[in-house]
Amino acid sequence: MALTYKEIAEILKIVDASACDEVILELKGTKLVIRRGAQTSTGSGALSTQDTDNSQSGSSLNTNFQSSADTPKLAPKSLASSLTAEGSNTVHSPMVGTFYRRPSPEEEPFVREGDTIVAGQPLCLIEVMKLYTTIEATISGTVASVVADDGQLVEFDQPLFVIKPK
Amino acid sequence: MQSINIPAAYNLVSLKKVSSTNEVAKTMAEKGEEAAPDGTLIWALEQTAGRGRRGRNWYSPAGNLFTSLILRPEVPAVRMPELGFVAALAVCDALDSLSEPGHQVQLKWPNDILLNGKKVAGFLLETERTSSEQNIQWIVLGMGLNVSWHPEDTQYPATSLRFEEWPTTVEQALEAYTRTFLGWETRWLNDGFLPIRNNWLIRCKGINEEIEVRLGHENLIGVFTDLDENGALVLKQSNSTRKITTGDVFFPDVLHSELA
Repeated sequence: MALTYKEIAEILKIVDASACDEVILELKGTKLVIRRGAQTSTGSGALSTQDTDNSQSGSSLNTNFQSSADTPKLAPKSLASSLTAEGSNTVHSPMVGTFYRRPSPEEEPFVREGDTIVAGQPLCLIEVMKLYTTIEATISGTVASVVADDGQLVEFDQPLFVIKPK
Repeated sequence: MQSINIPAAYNLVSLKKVSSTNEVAKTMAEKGEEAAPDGTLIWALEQTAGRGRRGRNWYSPAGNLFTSLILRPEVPAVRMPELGFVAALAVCDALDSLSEPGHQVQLKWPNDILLNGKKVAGFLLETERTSSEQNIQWIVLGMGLNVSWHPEDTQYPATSLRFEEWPTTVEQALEAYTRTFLGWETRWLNDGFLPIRNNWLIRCKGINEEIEVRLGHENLIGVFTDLDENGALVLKQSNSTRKITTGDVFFPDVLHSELA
């Protein structure tokens, strides 16, 4: 069972506000380990998930929760995360900016959950200082989830989409 | 069209009427460097579907200047937003070179150009990449300058050169812009963003003054204290300092005229 970025962020908030030093959550196919005080490159805490089903090799997902002043705090700064998701590919934001799912507010989203996509297909726009960057898919597959919200400020390396490869 | 005298660095593609010069430029850029090398400059006399920020209509009658420049700079993708400031400086200097006495040309974050406090020109930059690429293949720098006409119904007050009684023609504006852009782009490529930032700060409106920044979901009021090393607007509020990367800036004089 894959956890979404939002669900992990919620769990991180709860754990960080608690007195727990370690939380281990085991779901079908996923093991989530959150440990306060572990050494990471971005903070003093650590979060990891592991596939408990080894039938497929997972891809690595690293999330940087470092937060700039104008960005809503998605999770405590003290926690960093790394996630190995089962058989899926996560599209991360290559820059800080505003995430748009639509070419313009009146138009349909580039992609929706469940859509089949091909490599090179536009997925979203990221705006920074009136520069609009179209982010294209690197692989063909299915949009498993749209992780970021339309119009949301996103950080470098923040997950935007989860793609299930073809 | 009369002959145009622009720097040899640019290949001018002159068109009469297009949907949008950015659309034409993006289509050309995607065909590759051979089809559209660095410096390919699309110029149209009229646009039928000119665009501004977030799909806003850009007023595009014949008589105004509409250009899109295809660039392929060897600069990391993460630095591409700097190009908007480079281009804004170029238009600012182009207008200064054409200026009539007694007029004021200023910059409004991030890359609007104000003439006597009203918007006279703006940019829309577009590129594409995958999330893992460190470099881009192309960037399109779209610019619209109100030479003869300006819209009356915009969120931020607009003007045109003719309304301000400048006798400048579209062709003169295009020539001046290409000259000044070449100079500023060369400076940026050679010396980085610091001189661009410093010069932008000298020419901008509202520094160390209270401004309003309209984000999609909220409006922020604070003192515009600086431009950071990446071009973000630094806004000091009573209890915090925020760095703004996206939004529309308004000044108190404009807000007061809105209320009047």
